Amino acid sequence: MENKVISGIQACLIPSRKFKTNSICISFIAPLSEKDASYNALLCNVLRRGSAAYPSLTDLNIRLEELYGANLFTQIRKKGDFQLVTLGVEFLDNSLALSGEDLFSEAAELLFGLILEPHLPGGCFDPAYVESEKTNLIDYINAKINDKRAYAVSRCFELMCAGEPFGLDEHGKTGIVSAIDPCSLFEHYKAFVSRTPMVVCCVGRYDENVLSKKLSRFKSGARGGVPVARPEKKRPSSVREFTDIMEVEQAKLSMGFRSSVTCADGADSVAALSLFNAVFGGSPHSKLFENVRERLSLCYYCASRPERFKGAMIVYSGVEDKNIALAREEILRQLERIQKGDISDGELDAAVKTQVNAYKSALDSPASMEDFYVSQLIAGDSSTIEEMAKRVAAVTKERISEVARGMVLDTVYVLRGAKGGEGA
Amino acid sequence: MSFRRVRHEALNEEYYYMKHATGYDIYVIPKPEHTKTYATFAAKYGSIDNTFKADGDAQFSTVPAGIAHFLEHKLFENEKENAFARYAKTGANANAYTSFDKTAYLFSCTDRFAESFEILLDFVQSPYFTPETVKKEQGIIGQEIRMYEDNAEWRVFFNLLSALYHRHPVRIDIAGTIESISGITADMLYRCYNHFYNPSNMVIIVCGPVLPGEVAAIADRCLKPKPNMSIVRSYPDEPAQSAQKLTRQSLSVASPIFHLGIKDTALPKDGFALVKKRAVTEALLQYVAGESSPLYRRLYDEGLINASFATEAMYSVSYGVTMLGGESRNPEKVRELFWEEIARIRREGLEEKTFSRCKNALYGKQVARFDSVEAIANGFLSARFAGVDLFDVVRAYGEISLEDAARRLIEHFNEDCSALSVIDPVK
Repeated sequence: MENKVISGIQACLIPSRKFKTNSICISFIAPLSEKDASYNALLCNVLRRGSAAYPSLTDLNIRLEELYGANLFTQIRKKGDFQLVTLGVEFLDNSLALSGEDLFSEAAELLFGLILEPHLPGGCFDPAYVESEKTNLIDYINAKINDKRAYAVSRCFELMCAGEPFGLDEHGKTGIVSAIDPCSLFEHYKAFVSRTPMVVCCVGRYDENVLSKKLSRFKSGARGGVPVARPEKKRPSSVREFTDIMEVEQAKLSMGFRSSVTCADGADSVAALSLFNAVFGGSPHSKLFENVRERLSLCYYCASRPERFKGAMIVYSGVEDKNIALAREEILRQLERIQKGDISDGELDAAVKTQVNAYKSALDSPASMEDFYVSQLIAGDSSTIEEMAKRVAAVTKERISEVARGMVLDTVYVLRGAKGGEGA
Repeated sequence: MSFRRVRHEALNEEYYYMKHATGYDIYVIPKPEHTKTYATFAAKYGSIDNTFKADGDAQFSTVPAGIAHFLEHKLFENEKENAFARYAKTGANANAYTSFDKTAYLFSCTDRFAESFEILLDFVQSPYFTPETVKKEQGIIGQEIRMYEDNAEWRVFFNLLSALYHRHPVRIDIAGTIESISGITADMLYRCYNHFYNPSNMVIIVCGPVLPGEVAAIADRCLKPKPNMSIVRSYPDEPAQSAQKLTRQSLSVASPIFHLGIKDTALPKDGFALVKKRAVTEALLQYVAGESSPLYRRLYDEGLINASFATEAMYSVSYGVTMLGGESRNPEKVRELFWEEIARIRREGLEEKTFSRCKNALYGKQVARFDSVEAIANGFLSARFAGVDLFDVVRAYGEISLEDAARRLIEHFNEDCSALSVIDPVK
């Protein structure tokens, strides 16, 4: 893995000869705000509709089929208070092309063309594209409610972090999206593409000369470097409770915690955080799985996930209405056990091995490597995947307890049916 | 005992096969440059195998729906220590899944392969069921079923299957119902286990930076002889026509979600023919409704579909369904335009150039699967239970012709065999 600046743009190059496919991802890293998140998410979808060379979705998709079913994708990610806007392409390696095509150059040309030479009939975005993508984005945001498990997590963070960028939906806000017109979006695009900090990530086999030429088409003068996340650590004064009623069979319980560990605390602290999570609720031999699910048989899933870019953690579970209080009590009891140092040698050993396995497994997945290394840039940490695996192996029980003691319950969110058991 | 080596030159991939002395089939697909090894021990036994008889049985008997999945959960538990606790000592990422036609136990690891592989082979061969552990699992699976009842993506799919099928058990949820699983007993679990978990009905697949000899040595140590049992499965006769044309349910979703499906009841006995049938169907789906098709463009431009739109061909030995679906403001209109487009293409014929481009795209997707040890092992597993290997699958995609597709377009895309499933938002 190599981080370097090519033609003025931050690049993250991950050479590998073991994959049959290669990938190029271009990510823009913007501060998360209601307005910009909405514009950026819409922009990403409008750019995906077509370029000057392939003006319609059909033209574009025909081209992708010609490139042996190359996968062109867009992705909006939230990393703490940042929004990552990504356009990427995955394609077969040149050695597997049936007619000797240079698939790297062709795929790069397609991707860069979408971003730098969009389809602009009459000098602006196509109004029909903008309108239909507005509808699609609004539908997409509204449809987040369909997946109750994920919804109950994001809703809890939304309530817990109201007023903080992290509490916002990374896909924007429907009310803002619906008011965007093609011209204001085009004005936004010009500033976005020339000023937003960006990183290009290549995994597999790539041609640095081709890449350098393509990247030189981006303006680099007004563009800052990749921003480094330095999240503020908040401490709640009391626990806040929220309930939503919906037509559901199974209730969802989400518990949002503030954490005293963030990516700003360095790689060893992040390693301790990930190890704490493995002991608490991040694996099938965690305390939450062992107790809330296996011993008390209260749920099918009960898990925890830290947000190192924010200084937060979520615990989420699906339970019967009548068991909500019981599950909540048990979750807090298990956290308390870790806070008090009740971690067995077996648990520590399992957590280390699980986390080492999780880190090293990423080496076989181009998408996981891309996410890891782009995240590392934002964390301001130069540790590689292999180094992180070594760091987690050195974490002590005392460090894990310390991380646990820094977890303070902030918000409890319950989503349940109208007909269910005792009130929340 | 030795391995047979099978190589695919163009893909630069190979696998090793051996029939173990105990009767189990073992496949090893080496990926020397990968970090992760993925292993699966699987039975050709899924949610549809509820009516069966074994050697010596006079009559067929039927067990409660959801029992294969229940058995999968319970096998993790043992007299001493559950399998997850054992894997905790190796750091492997372990799991299992039950589908319509198979149950697979699996793990992936970057270190200590031998120890994890021993655990896998051991716990799958060591059933332990008691009334108490069965009762506990009824609570957990009950919550799993509840979770899926709220899952619109899951409901739209199962509602489609129960509209398409009159009798075939593919129409029933894999986990069964809270009612059906309440009738499961430890004795029933033992009976199903003894019938279906035997060497002739199981397979072991390992993919990653491992050597065949390493796998064989552990297998020699851990695999226990078990009598082979010939199992006769019985599936009810299924009419070619769908049971219902339309099914609707209301859930708390933002906008309607739909699946349009076409049932295929004329499934070939020959494994390669079955795999090829699926490949031809996928090529046609790409041609008719893929992202470069005129139909997709029209649906997208008219706001009838969005990026969630997808197609799939799900083909197994006893069931076959061709599907398309996603979110839509007007699923009925999508259905109407889909059948209009089928009629148009039937009238005008398939274009050679477009078809070969669709084939190209499918070739790329097949090749790309070889980047992931999970995708290789799971693809191999499905292929093996259909009676072929993974290279046969790649070959099937290479062999499909315009004539195959033209024939399939006439024989399969029949409105009488189709159904539309819609999940509407709660008013």
